[in-house]
Amino acid sequence: MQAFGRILVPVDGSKNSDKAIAAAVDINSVSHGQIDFLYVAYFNGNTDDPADQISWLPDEFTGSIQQISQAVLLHAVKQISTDSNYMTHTATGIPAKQILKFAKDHASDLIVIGGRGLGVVEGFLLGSVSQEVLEHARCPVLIVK
Amino acid sequence: MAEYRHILVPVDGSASSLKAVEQAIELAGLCDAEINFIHVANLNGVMGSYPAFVSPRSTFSGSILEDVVEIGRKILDQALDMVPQSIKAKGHCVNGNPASAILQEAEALKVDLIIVGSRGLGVLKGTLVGSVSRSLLGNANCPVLVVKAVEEEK
Repeated sequence: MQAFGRILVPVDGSKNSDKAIAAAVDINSVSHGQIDFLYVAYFNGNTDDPADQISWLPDEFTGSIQQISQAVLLHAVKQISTDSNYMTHTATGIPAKQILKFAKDHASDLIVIGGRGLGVVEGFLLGSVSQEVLEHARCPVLIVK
Repeated sequence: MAEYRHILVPVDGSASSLKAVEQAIELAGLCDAEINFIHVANLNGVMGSYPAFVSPRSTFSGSILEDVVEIGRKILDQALDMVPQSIKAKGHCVNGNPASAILQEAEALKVDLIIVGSRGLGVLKGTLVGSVSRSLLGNANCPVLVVKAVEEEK
């Protein structure tokens, strides 16, 4: 069985997300792989058809999404206390699906995720995103609460 | 240094559970942790929940209990045999509702991490994450690592 060469940590700036980051950093300190931080936004400036000059999304709004993603990723990176290899990523779309896609495309060995995030829909035992990721991930999933 | 020193691994002999054992061994090696395996024999449905007049003791023979304990021992031995000498490991066999029993043991042993397979033996087809694993996720006080068995591509 492979050690955790690539650890995927979806982040959203929530406290649970911070706990997941801490756990991932902890594990990475002994497995010496790379941590991939992933922020998923619902939309960005490119979501609308560029050929269509009229966008239903005002630029200020899509602009601020980018600021949020940068802030969240920066906040995540700041929590790396040890000498860890890491990369930050942003994706656009439905969070759970993008997380699963990333894990598949990058052959993540482990996903570390909080029990609940900032999402509005909450499951009884587990938040909806965490639940979906857990259900469909092919690699092990560490749920940190 | 990673803080996982006491790892609890529920086992039931299933493929998923074996993956969890492998994962636990690997992590324990990296973190210098000790592993506790737990097998829960769910006899409650068989012996405990009938009304007094049914008198469970006379209805079910003691040999069932012996068989179940023996099965538990075999399952635990299978897991313990996989652990290299360098890692400390113990097996526990308890009776009761699986999720509750596992959580109780987790509290008693003050574990840092539970590593569990995503599916066990008695699952509905199509369920990717079993009811026991789900229950652990919802109620555990420590992080839970869910390990997937190799599923057939759908």
